[in-house]
Amino acid sequence: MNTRPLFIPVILGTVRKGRASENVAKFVFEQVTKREGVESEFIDVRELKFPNDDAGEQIKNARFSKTCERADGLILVVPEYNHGYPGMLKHVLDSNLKEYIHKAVGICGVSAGGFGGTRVIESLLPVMRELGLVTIFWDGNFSGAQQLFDAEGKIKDEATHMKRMDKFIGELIWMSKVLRYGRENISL
Amino acid sequence: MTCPECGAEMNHHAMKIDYSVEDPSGDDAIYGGALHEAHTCPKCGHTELRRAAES
Repeated sequence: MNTRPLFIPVILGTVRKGRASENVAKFVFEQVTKREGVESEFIDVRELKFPNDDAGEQIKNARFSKTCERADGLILVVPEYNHGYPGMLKHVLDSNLKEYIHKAVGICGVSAGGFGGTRVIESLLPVMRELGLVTIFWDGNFSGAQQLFDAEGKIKDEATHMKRMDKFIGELIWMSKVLRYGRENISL
Repeated sequence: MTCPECGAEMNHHAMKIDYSVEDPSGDDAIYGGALHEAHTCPKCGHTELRRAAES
């Protein structure tokens, strides 16, 4: 069995100014990088600067595609905007295909209200499936996004969120290992 | 399929339809897009897609 460390990047899925999801993504990134045998990378869709006059693999970003190809799993941190996902996240995700097939994905929903981005997570599931990604059944749910962190960007109810993240990341690691083994060893 | 990165034999683990092709023909027309095989290298993890009609 392959002994390379697992690679699970965290994608911050919004470009908006004042985005509350940025603190959430940093918190999630901190949690995943604490895991032994796991490497990660923080991907900010704002920094990718994708063009908006074409779509799909025509606008591939070489660095982003390479990162996704290396990945064994992905974590998406996604705000809920009017019950949906940010258009720019979809635009960015659509630029790859082979890079996602039979890889694990976990989604962290972020919302101003009290439902922790549940609706954006649900709306993303069919997209993940069509991209070839395999969703886990644990989610990250971050409600009341504007009040979740203090002025220094530290999460206020750390104990609760760390416990939940521990389960989420544990499931994602398990799925990433299983799918890597399958991709590399089990023939169709 | 041989890995273009490291030369190891790759594992064929998935079939995927690419709906972005404008004019799927032949067998691909059945699926409404181009049918691709996904292969991953057990040695270096590299992935390749190959048009199924060409394999």
